[in-house]
Amino acid sequence: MTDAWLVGAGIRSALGDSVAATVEVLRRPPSAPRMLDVPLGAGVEVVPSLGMAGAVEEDPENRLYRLVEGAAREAIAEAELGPDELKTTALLLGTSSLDISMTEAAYARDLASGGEAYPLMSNSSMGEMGRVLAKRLGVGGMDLTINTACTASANALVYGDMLVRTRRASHALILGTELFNRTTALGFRSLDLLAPDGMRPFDKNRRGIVLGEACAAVVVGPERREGAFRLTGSANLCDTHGISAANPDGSTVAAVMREALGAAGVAPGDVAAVKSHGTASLLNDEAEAAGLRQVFGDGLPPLCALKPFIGHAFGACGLAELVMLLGAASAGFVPGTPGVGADPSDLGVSLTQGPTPVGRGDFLLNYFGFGGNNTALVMSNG
Amino acid sequence: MTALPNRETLIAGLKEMILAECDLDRDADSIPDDMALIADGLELDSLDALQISLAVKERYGVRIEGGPDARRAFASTAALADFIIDARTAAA
Amino acid sequence: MAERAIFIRAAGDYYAQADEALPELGPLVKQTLGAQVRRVGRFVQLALIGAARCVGQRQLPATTGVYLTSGRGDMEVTADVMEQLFRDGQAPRPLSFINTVSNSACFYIAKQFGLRGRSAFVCNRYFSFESALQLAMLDMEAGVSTSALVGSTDIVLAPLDVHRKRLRLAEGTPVAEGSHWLWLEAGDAADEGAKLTSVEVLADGAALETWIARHARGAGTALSVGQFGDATETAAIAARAGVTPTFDYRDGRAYYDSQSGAAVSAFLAQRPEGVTTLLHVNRDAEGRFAAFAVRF
Repeated sequence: MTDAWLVGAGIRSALGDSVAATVEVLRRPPSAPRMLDVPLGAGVEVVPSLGMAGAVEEDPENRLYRLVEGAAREAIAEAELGPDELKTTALLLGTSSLDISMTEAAYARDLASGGEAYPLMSNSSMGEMGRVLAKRLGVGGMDLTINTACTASANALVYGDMLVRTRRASHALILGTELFNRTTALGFRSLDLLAPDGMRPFDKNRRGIVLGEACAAVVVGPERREGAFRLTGSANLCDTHGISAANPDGSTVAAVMREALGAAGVAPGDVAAVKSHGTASLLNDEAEAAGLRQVFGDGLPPLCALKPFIGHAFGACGLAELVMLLGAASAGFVPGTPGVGADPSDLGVSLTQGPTPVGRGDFLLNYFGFGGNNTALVMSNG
Repeated sequence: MTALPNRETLIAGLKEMILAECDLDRDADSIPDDMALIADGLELDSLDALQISLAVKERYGVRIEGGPDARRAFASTAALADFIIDARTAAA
Repeated sequence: MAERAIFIRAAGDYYAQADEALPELGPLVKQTLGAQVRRVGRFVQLALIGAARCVGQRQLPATTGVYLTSGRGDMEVTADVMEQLFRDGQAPRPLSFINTVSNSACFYIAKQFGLRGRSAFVCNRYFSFESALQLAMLDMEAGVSTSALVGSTDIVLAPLDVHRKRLRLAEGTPVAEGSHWLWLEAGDAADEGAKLTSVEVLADGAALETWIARHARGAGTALSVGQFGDATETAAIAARAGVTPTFDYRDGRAYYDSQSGAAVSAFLAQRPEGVTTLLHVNRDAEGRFAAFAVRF
C-alpha cells in the first residue's frame, strides 16, 4: 500500500476551459441559464441549460472527444506524466450518458437518409468510450467505466484511488464527462424536474435542475506535493427507498456521510466545509437537509451548492464539483450563491452567500444518484 | 389528438392505459371507478403519476400540472376522466 | 486475527441461445422470485433471474454490495427511448428514461434482496465480468465490503440480423443472452471451500506468465481461455509457466459479451477429479490480459 494524492486537475464547463479560469468565475454569482430549443416531432421543447460555449449540437461526433481530451490533457500536464508513466496509468471514466450524444447524431442522420434506420448502430458497447479515450491519450493501464448516474465520477475517483494505493497502477487518470444530449434533456423534461429560472438548492422557491455540461479530470498518484488534496474517506451505499429520490427522512443520506467521515477519522465538528449535492428538487433537498441536520446538529460548517454555477452535470458532477471546490479552497475560499438558499427557515440549512474564507482541512462532498446510489467523499489538505 | 368518447368509455380506456403504462398485472375490471390511484387503492407512486400525465397529454392533449391539478386528477379513474372532460370543454 | 480469504459461496446463471422469437421473461421472473416485478424490461428481468438463482433462499447480509457489469447494457430501453424521440417525435416516458440509467438494475437487485451496501455498475470493452469482479475484490481487500453479489447481464435485441450488426458479428453468428452471478463473502482462510484468490489486469504476456506461475498448483491446475483470448498464444504463455489449458467452459456457447461470467460456475459444477485450481485468462485488443484464480 502507498499513499495517493491528487496531483493534477482539469475542467471544461460553462465557467471556462481551465481550473484557473473556473476558480476566478466562482468568486462571482452564478449566471442565469439560457433557454434552449430542443426539437421534438414537429415542434420544440424549451429547456434551461448552462452548456459550454458554442452551439451544443454542433458537430457532436467530434465535440465529445475534443472536450474530454482537453480536460484530461490539462490534468496530465499538471501531474507532469510523461509517455512512460502513462503506460502504467489506469483510466477510470465516470459518466451517465457515455457517448450518447454521438449515437443520437448517427441515428438522426440514418433516419434522415430515408433508408432503414436503427438506434445504437454506431456504437453499442458500454466500454468503447473508455477504450477509445485510453488509446487517444496514450494511457496503457486498465480502463474501467463506472456508470452509476450522478455519482459515477465520484465513484470512479474512489476506485482510481484504490488502484494506486494497492499499486495496481502507478497513477490513475479519472474522468467525468457529460455532454448535452436530447435523451437526457427531454427525459428530465418528462420527469418535470427542469427549472427555467435557475437552480435554487435548499430554497423554498426551488423547482429543480438546469441541464449542465462538464468534462473534468484528475490524476491521482503517489507523489506528495505541498498543499495537495487526497481522498481520506469515502462511502457508497444503496438507498432502496425510491429509484429517483433519496429517503426524505434523511436517514440514508446521514448514513453515507457518517460512514465517509468515519473512514476518514474526521469528527463532524472538524469538517471545514460541505459541498452539497443540492439538486434543488423538492424531495432530494429535503432528504439532504434532514441528513445534514442529523450528522452536524447545530454545528453545520459552511455549506455550498455548486450546481447553480454549471447546472447539473449528472455523471460528470462528481468530479467537476470536486475540481471546482478544491480549486476554490486552494485559493482560500468556498464559493457562494447570493440569494439562493439564504433562509434556513424552510429546510433548516442555509448556503454560503458569497465567497467564504476557508483554510486547509477536511472537506465533505455529497453525491446522490438515480438508482439509490449515494456517495460521500472526504477530501483533505490539512 | 383523438375526439373524446363518452364518459363511461373514457374511464374504461383510462384503466387500460394505466395498466399498460404502469406495468400492472391485473384486470381493468378489478379497478372500481372511484378507487384511489396513488398510495392507498392502486398503490401507484409519483413516477407512475408522471408516466400517466405524459400519456394523457399525448392521447387527449390535456396537461396535468403539479399540485392541486394532480391531486384532483389522480383521485380516481373517474376523477381523471372528469379532469380530461373539463379541460377539453374549457379549451373548446 | 485469523487470515481472511474471499469465498465463493454461491453461483447462479441464466443462459439461452436466441432465436427470432425471444421468450417473455415475466413468467420466469415471477416463478424465480415468487412475485412479479413491475416497470422493468428484459435487462433488469434477466439480471434479477440470474441473481435470484445465485441467492436462492438465503438472506444475504444487508451490507452486501452489488457489482453489475454488461457489455451492452439495457439496449432495449435505450433503443426504445431513442426511437420514440427521433423517429416518432415523442418525449421519453419517465419510467423508460429512468431505466436507461444503467444502475437502475442495481437498485432492483438491492431492493429484491434487501441490500443497502455498495452499488456499482462497471464496464470494460473486453473484460466486462472481470471488471465487476475486480471492483468487488478491491472493496473486499480494503474491508469496505465483506459480502458481494457480482454479476454480468447481456440481452439480445431483436431482430437478430440488426443485433449482429450492432455487435459487429458476422452474418448468421449464433447469439445468446446470459446472466451470471456469484455471491462472495469474506471468511477465515483456514476454512474449506472455493476461494477467489486473485483478480488482476496484466500488461503483457510476461506479466501473465509470472501470474500463472504464482497461482498454478501443478497437475491440479485447470486453465480456461476467455472469449477474446487467443488459444495458441495463451497456451504458449501458460506452457512457459508449466500449465496446459484444459478447461473449456465455452464449449459451443453462442455469442454475448460477458461469457467470462460463466467460467466460475461451470468450474464449480464440473470440477474434474484432482483439480484444485482454476485460472481464467482473457485478452483485449491491446494485448493486455485479465486473469482470475479460484482455488479449493
